[in-house]
Amino acid sequence: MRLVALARSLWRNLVRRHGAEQALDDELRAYVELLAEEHARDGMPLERARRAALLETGGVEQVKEMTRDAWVGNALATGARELRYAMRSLRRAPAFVVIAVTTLALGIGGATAVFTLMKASLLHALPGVAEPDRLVTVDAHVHGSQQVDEFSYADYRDLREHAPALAGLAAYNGAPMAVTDAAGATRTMAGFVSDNFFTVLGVRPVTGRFFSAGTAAAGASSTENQQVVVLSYEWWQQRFGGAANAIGSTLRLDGHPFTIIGVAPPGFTGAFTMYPMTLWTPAIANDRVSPPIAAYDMNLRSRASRWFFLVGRLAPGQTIEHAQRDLAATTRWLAATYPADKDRTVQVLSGAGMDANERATASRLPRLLGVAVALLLLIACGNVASLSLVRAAARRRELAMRLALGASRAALVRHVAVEGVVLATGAGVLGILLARWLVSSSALVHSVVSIPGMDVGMDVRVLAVALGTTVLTAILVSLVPAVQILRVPPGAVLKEGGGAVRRRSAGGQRTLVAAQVGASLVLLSAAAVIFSAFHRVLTAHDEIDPQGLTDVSLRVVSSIHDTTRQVAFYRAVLARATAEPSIAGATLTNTVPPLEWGSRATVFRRGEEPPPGTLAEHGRDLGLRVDALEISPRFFDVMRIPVVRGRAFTASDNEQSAPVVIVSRRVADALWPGQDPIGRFLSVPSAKGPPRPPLRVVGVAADTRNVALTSVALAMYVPFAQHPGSNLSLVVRGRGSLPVPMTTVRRLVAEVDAGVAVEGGKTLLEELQAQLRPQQAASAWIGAFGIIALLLAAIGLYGVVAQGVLQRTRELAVRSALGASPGGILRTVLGDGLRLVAMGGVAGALGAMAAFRVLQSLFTAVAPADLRAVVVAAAALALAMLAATILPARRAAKLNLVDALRSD
Amino acid sequence: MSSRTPLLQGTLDLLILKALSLQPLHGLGVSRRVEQITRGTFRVKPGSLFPALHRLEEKGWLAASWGESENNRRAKYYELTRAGRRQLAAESDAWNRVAGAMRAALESP
Repeated sequence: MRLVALARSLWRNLVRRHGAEQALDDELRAYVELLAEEHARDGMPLERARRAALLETGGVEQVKEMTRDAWVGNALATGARELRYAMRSLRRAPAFVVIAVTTLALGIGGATAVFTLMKASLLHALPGVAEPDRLVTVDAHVHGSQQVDEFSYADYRDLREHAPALAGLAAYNGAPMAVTDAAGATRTMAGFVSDNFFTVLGVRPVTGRFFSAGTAAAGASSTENQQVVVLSYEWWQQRFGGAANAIGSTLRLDGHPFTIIGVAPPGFTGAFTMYPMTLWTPAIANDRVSPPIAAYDMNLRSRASRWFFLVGRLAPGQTIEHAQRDLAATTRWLAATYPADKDRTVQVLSGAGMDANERATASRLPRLLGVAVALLLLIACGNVASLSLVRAAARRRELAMRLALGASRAALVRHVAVEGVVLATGAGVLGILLARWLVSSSALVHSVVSIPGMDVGMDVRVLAVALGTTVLTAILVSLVPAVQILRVPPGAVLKEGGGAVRRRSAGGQRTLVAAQVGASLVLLSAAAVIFSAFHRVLTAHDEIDPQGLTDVSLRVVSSIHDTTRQVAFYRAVLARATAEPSIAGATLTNTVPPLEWGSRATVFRRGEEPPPGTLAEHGRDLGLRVDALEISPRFFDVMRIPVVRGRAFTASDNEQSAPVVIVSRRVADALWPGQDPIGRFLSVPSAKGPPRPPLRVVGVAADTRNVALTSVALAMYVPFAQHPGSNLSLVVRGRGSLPVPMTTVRRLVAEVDAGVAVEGGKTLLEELQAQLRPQQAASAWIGAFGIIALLLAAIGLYGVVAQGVLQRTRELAVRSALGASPGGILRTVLGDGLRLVAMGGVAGALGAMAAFRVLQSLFTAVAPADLRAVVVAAAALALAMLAATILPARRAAKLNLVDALRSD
Repeated sequence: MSSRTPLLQGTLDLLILKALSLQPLHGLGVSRRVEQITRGTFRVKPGSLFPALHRLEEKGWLAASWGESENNRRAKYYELTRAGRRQLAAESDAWNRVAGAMRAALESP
C-alpha cells in the first residue's frame, strides 16, 4: 500500500505538477479566507481582517515553498529547475564556457589519446601476441655484470623442464638469411626458435600449422624428416600472393631446403620488438642444429655455446616471483654443476620482446608519460581554475544581490555547483569523444608513425584519471564564488565597486597564470629537447652520416665458394663502384652500422687469452665482448666515422700482410685505460679451429651508437681481406648526398659477376628511420603533448588575461577620462601581464633543467643545446598574452566614461 | 510553529493525527483543534502545518478531499486513513511511555 501511495504522490508531484501546484494554491487561498472570516466574525472590518489573515499566514509563497519541500520527488523537480537555471546563467558567459569546456576537453581527450597511443606503440609493441601481460622475459647475467647474456640450448632445456610456474618457456633468436623461393632470391630476417615458440606466445596459424612438439626437442623422435618453416602473413602475401598452395612448397634458406608448413597471423613479427622476422624455423630439429645457423659456433651439448633468448608464459595463478623462484633454483643448480655456468644468475621480467637497453628505456617511459599527462592535466585544471576565479570576481555582485533578495545560502551554493557540474559534464563528454576520435583515427596515427598491426583500445585508467581530476577541479573551483560570498555580508559586496573586488581575488589568480606558464614551458622544453636529439642523431655529422648512403647486400652463397676468388670479386666490385661517376665513395662491410653491429667476438689483451680450445668452456665471460666488423679500406671515410688515433686501413692491409685491427675508443679505454693502444696486440681466440694470430692495433675510431641510439657500441674493425668468408654489403655514398639508384648498383655488380644476388638498395636513412620508429614515435607523441600543452596554455592565458582586463574596464575608463593617455593605459596593463609571464618563465626554466636531467638518463643523445622550440613556445605564450591584453585594453581606453560605468 | 513552547521533533505529526481523530478538518480547523486540545499551549503556523499535512498525506496516514466549509467555502479536508489510525495508536503508546518515564525520572528524589 505504501508503494502505491508513493507512486501516486510521485505521479502527482512530477507529472501532474501543474495540478498539484493549483491545488496547493487553492488550499492556501482557502486558509487565508477562512482565517479572514474568523477575524470578521470577531468584529473586524473585512479589509483589515483580510490583511491580518495574510500577515498571520506569513508569506504565502514561502509557505508554498516549504510545503513543496515536503513533497516526495521534489528534489528531482528542483534539480531540473536548477539545471535550466545553470544553463541560462552559463549562456550569459559564452566566452568563459567555450574556453573552459575546450580546455577541459582538450586536456581529457589529449592526455588520454596520447598516453594510450604512446603506450601502445612503445610498450605493447609485440603485435599478434595473446595476453601479453602474462609473458615474461628471462634474462641471464654473469655475476656482477649488468650485461645481459644469452642461453645455451642445454641450459634452456633444463630451465624449461623445471619451471612449474611457467605454462611454457620458449627460446629464440634471429639471423639474416638469403631466401630463395619461386619469386627469386632475397635477404630477410629469419627466426630460429624452439618448437613451442608459437604456443608460448599464444599465436594461432592463419593457415597450415605450426611446429609439432618434438620438432625442436633434441632427442625426440620426429615425424618431420625435412626442415620446416612458418611464414609471416605479410611475407606470404608479398611472395606468394596469399596462395593456399604455398603450404607444402619448398624454399631455401642460405641454400638449405625448407618445407613451408604454416602462416602466422597478420601483424605477428616474432618476439623481438625491434627486429621483425619474416619467417621462423626450429633452431634444432632431429637433434641437430638447423644447417643455416650451424655456422654460429653452436654446440648443442656445450653449456658455453650461448645463442638463445628466452620468453615464457606464466601458468594460471602464478606470478613473476614464482617464476623467478623456479628459474633461480635451476640456475643455482646449473652453476654448481657445470663450470661454464659458474656465477650465472637469471632475472625474470614482465613483458617480452625487448633487450636490456630497450627495457631500461621502456621502464622509464611510463613514469615519463605519467609526468607528461600530469603536466597536461595540471595546465588544463589551472586554466579552468584561474578562469573560474576571474568569473567569481565578476559574479560576486550578482550572487550578493540574490542573497539580499532572499535566496538561501544552500540554494546559492547548490546553484553554483550545478553550473560546475554542467560545465564538467559537457567537457567530459567532449573529451571522451575527442580521445576516441584521436585513438581510432588511424590516418592521424599513421601520419605520425606507422606501426604494423597496431590495434589499440583506449586506456581506461588514464581516461578515468583525466576525467576525475578535471571534473573535480571544475566543480570545486566553481564553488569559489559562493564560498567567498558567504563570508561577507551582501551589503558590503553590493557597495564595493568592481575594481575593489578584482583586487581581492587577484593574488591567487596571478599565481595560477604564472604556474600555468611555467608548466607549459617545462613540457614544451622536454618535447623540444627530445625532438632535437633525434633530429641530430638522424642527421649527425659527428657520427655515421646516413645522408646519401645506399647499402646493398651481396649474397655470394652459391656462386663463389673459394675465399681467394671471393676476395678478388669484392675488390673488383669496389674498384668498379669507385669508378662510377654518380658514386662519391664505396666500401664493403659484413654488417652496416648502426643498423646491425657485426658479429659478436670475445677479445683479450695478448697473453691473457685462455688456452686454445677452452674458450667454449669458460673463456667467454672473461674477455671483452665486442662487435666485430669486417670492412674495406675506405669504410671510415665513406661512413664518416672519424679515426681519432693512428690510421685507417689501406690497400696494403691485405691477406699477405700482418693482421691488424682498429678498435673503437670505448674498447681502447676498456682494454688499455690511460695508455696508448696503438701498436698493442689483441687476441681473438676462436671456439674451434686453429688458433689465430693476435691482431695489432693500428687505429682508434670514434665511438658510434647502436641502432636504438641509446648506447654506445663496443666495436672492433678488421680488414675483410684478412678475414675472408663472410657475405659483405656494399655501401655507396652518392655524389652530392643523393642516393644511388638500385639499378646502377645492380648493373655494376653484374658487370663484375652476373651470378651474384644483389638485395637491398634502400638508403641508410630510410632503414635507420624504420629502425628508429619507436623512438620517433616517442618524440612524435611527446611533440603532440607539447602542442596540446602550448594550445592549452595559450587559450588559458588569453582567457584569464582578457577577463582580467575586461573587469578593469571601469577603472581604465575612469583613468582615461581623468586624462591618462591610451598608451599609458596599455603600458600599465601590459606591464602587469609581462611580469606574470616572466615569473612563470623563470619557474619553467628551473623545471626544464630538471627535465633535462631525466631525459639525459633516458637517451644518451640528449644534449640541452637546441632550445629553439622552447623559444618558440615562450614566444607563442607571450603572443597570446599580448593579444589578450591589447584587444580589451584598447577597447577600454576608447570607451567613454558613462558607458563604462553603466556596463557593470 | 508556535514559539510559546517549542514542539519536540515528531510531536507535531502526533498532534495533527490526534486532532483529526474525531472528524475530518481543513487546514485552519486542524490548527484550531490543536490549540484547543493542548489548551492553547501549541499554536501551529501555516509554515509548519501545510508541509506536515502534505507529508502525512504522502505517507498514506491522511486522506484529503475537497469539501464545503460551514460558510460554503471550498476547502481541502483531511481525514485519518486506517493506516493513520494505526499510526496514531502506535505513536500515542510510544509517547505515553516516554512521558511516563520522564515523569518518573523527574520525580525521583
